[in-house]
Amino acid sequence: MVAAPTRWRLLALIMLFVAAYAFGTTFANDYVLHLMVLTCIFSVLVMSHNLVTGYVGLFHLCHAAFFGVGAYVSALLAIHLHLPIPLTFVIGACAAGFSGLTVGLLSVRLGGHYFAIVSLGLGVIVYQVLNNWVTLTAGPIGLSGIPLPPQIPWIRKSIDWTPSIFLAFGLVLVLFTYVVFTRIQDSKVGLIMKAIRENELAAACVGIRTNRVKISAFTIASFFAGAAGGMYAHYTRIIVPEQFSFMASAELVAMTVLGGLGSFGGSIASAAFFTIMPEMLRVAGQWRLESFGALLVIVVLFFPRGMAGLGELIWQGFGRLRGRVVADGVTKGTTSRGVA
Amino acid sequence: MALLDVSDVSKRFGGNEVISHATFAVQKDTITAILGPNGAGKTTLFNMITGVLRPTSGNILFGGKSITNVRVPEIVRMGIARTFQKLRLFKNLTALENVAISRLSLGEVSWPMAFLGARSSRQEEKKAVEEACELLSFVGLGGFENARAGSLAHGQQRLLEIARAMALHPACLLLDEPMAGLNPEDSTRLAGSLLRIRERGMTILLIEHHVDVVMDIADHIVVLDFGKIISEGLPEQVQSDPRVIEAYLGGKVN
Repeated sequence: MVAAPTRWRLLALIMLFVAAYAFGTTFANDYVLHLMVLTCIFSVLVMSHNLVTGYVGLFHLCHAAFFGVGAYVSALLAIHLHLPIPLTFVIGACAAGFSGLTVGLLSVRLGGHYFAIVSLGLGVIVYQVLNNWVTLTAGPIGLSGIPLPPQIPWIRKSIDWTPSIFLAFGLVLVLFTYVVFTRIQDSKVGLIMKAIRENELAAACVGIRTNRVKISAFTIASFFAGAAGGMYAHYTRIIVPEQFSFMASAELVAMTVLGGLGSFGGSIASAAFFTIMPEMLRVAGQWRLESFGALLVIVVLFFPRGMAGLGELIWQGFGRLRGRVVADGVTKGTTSRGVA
Repeated sequence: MALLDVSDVSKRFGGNEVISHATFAVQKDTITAILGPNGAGKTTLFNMITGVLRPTSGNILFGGKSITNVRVPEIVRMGIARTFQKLRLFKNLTALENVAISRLSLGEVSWPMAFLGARSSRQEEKKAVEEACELLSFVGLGGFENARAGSLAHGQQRLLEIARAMALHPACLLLDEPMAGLNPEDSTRLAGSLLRIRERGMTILLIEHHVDVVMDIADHIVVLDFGKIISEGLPEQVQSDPRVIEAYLGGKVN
């Protein structure tokens, strides 16, 4: 129900993205560029997970499975049927959305822990299918040689599918996802979702058809997870079932919580943190992953509302600083404009 | 014809019969109160009327239609709204949002339109907010629009629940102990509000322990004890009914 601050946030985000792109294409080496593309993909994934877990409040443990469905469907269609990649990308996302719809219909009546357990089971099923249907998915070896996207017909210049091009597409995908989700957040749909998270029975008692809302959110989130999967498949060009296992889903839960439940900006920050931090911690040598784990514990202990909460604290700090300037101005007998 | 017809309704939890063959009717434009000691089954009765629980047997009619097996949100949409004895607010939303959401959830504007921010959806939001403000000041929460619901005092949270239920424009409003936790002054004021709510065209079914207040405002009283209706009628009739006196004050000592 609030529109204006969102617009500023969006503008800030666009500027940040332009800066990121400029940085990525001019200063960064291929490795850093690679991390930036991965950050984009995981941002979309974490934001979509946040829509289900942070908004509707369904604790959901199979999001990586939808990521996998998108990746595998898009890759298989491109490898075996030679369909154009923009098409396979969309079909992959739709397939993930459809599996989300199915899972939603099966499990959404269950509340709390029961839903978490059912989603865990369904995630395991997807992983086992990817791992064991060897004739189709090549099993644990995974799919390799996934084709790159084709040339774009209406652009004359031929495109080298370099990481920097992927970065551009990745940033656009993140921006698109962010805009869609914040629109949901700011419309009555977002309010209705939050009401379900806050108190499901009360939500039903103000006439909200809670099951329908939950299934819709689940479907939308799976669609975006599938889109991230498609991009991931055609970017890395090799995918293995392990990347979509329960552990991957659990890691997504950690990313969502660390970013801040219900904050999409926090999700982006968290995806960046999770992708870049383990690399920066290489200075810790063999203690790299242990120190990353310790860092997670510290963040959750001291900032239970995640990076979004941390951001808010900093913002309030700024506010207090500004407030002091204004107050000083008043005591000195000048208006705040006079001080400026 | 009665607005709400509860006929021969029973509810069993395992071997425990919480409501046994309850039959009563709520007439349109009245305030009907359900009285009874703790554990008499009053809230269970509310839960069955609103679809939260299904009766083991019996039938509930609302405006002539059976609502016995209808789901909660559909019953709300048919025109029954309720509040909870154990408060169930959307604690992290503002007071205004808590009330506006009622209007928005029932609103005609479809989700895609709301998503796109179409003019119809903006108008719907504006109307919902205006009405929510009006209802908040009606229940005495003017000025608390932007307070987080969870930060309000207990009594204010009860009032907020009433405003939220009223925003659904129900034909029948079910209030589960609205005066619990209110100081005497506020209770009296709320009693006045209830009369004004009835004038707005909402029929009220009320669970309440403040017997004196109930006697003042109720048009009809149903007394429940151990899941059975032991007395029913006008306040004066119920007040002098020996069965009611026995239930509240205990039986005769021989």
